[in-house]
Amino acid sequence: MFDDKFVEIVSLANALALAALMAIIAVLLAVYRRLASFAADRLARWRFQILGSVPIVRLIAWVGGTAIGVFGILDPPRDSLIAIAASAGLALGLALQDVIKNLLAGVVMIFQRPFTVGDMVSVGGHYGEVIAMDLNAIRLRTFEDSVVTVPNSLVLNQAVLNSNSGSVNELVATAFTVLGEVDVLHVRRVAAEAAACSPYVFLGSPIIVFVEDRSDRQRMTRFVVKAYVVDVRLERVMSADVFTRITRSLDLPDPCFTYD
Amino acid sequence: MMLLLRKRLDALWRQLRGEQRAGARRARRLVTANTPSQAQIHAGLEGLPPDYGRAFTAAPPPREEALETQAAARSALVAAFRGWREGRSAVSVVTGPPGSGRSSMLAAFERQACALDVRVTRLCPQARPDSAAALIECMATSFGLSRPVPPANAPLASKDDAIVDGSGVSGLDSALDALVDGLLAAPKRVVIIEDVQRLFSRRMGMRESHSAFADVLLRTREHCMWVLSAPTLAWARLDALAGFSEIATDKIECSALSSADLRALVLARHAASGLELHLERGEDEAALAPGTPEYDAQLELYFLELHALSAGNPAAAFHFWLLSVGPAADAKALLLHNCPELSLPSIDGLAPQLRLMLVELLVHGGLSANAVAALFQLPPSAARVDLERLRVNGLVTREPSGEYALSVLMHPHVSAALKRAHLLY
Repeated sequence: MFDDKFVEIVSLANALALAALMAIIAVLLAVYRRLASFAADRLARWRFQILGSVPIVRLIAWVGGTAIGVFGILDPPRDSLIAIAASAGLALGLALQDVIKNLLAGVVMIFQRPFTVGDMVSVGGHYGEVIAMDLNAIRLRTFEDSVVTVPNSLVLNQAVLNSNSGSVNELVATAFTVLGEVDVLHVRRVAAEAAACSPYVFLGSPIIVFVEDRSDRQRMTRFVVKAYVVDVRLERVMSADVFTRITRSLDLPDPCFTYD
Repeated sequence: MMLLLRKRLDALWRQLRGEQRAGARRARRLVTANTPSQAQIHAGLEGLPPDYGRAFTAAPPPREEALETQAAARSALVAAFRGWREGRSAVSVVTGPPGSGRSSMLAAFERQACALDVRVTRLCPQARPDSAAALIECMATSFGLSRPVPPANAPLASKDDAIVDGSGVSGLDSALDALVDGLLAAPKRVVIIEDVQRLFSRRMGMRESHSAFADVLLRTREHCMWVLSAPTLAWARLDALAGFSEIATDKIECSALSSADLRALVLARHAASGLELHLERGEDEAALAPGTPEYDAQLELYFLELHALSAGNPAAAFHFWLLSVGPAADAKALLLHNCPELSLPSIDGLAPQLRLMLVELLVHGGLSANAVAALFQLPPSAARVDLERLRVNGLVTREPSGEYALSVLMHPHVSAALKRAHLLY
């Protein structure tokens, strides 16, 4: 019923060799991921480059592993390979449209690099740190400590806001509104000094305070303190720290606090 | 030479990994959080001359020996001094890593200036001023001004100088004017401020202190020569906060001591004891006496390791030296054991807040628990607990004044780890 070549291809030995190859690749990738995570914790300056290399290495490893498996272990005749690839492609293409779309989007993202692991991004209404870039989806850790999985095709078709673009520091805007008459110059000075006093603020970049008149039916002045945080993971901590200092120093009754 | 280089690289690699030497040829003393302090070491130097430990105190009397490496820095300072005497303004900033000889250089400079009948004032605050008014008062007291300085009661972060007295001048401004007038009325002088970062702290109201200080310097820099000294990292932070570099006329950088400088410094202090130095070898081997190539090579290796361990900081090197020496079989000699190993606690594993506390302790040169509490907006008890955790790890020491400071032994390793973490810039 089956010719000898086919029996040879689907032999137990080949199946075991393929399984062993996949297991080796999976173990090596797990080791690499752990090593990258270990190195990234110790070399914060290179954190994004190190973590960003993980999806690239994973892609190379799986593509290479598949090639070795097909051509090195199974080694089917060319005609059979073309026939199998065509029919499998058609079947998989129809059945796994979304998966393939996500996979291709994942490959495009690896080369296009709109963000990398460790970046703070906003996508699909979720804002958080990119903790993984898999071939089919990315995972974000939000400030509520939830992990959100966003399919790659969705990421590629939407506007993505990247707050730090691979840098350890990130511009953080702490906005608050003061109701009623206020000494704008004084509040502005206090806000700038509050940011400079915060141990979470990166002092290598300037601190800027913007003032806007938002008066409607009553007098309202909005202040935005823009300063860089020493580490993107401390974004909210810094914002809260700066705001607390401002409110304690100003001792005003009703500042309205919003994050930008 | 190649052997030395290999051993040196090996020692550096082990330092980077912060690991103990596994299967070392000879046992090494491990420097950990439980390592005795220098005072305890002095008390326990059995079999050594009574004054031996005293020669290796962290703050030795100023001596010329440490200045050999600072010739360029010293020349630059003297050139600034000459320029000032010719009428130019002078605000010289001397920076360098801890233990680079800034204090010795300034002491020598002070002697030189005094020899030329120039009045020299050292500004050494007893406590860190907590407001602009306190800073002005501290400066006025240090200068011994005969003219009383009016009380400066302006509140912190004054509302655009809106809080003014009847004359339209704030209390702080009039105090500043009085201080400047007092300085200008007094004879010309050189003002040396060592560890200038200790005059300031990161707190609400600091901008007022920065402005007041800069104002005094700008208005008196032709009449007084200001010499400000600070560790490089502390100065970088102060400059980032206050922009003092913009008013500096000279920036003088002292480089860290080399291995050869450190060797000369340590051996000069040892030589004062009049004892020979023998080197320990294997367990069953007799100690090495001076005068052989092997002795020289081993001593060279010891100082390479000591230099790597202490990052060229004599205070740390003295500490490690005292941990290395002991009595020898020959009463007229001391036995030098191996350079100790440093057991460095993991800084990367610390919580972000603790790492930032280390940064603040490093750039401030020491902070009280209350100051740390204010800086991190914590209850004082919580700040104390955090600082004690760092102290138990051996990263921080508590000064007699109650302030917490980075351990001099761990300083280079902590600052390197914080730089790697991008927290020091």
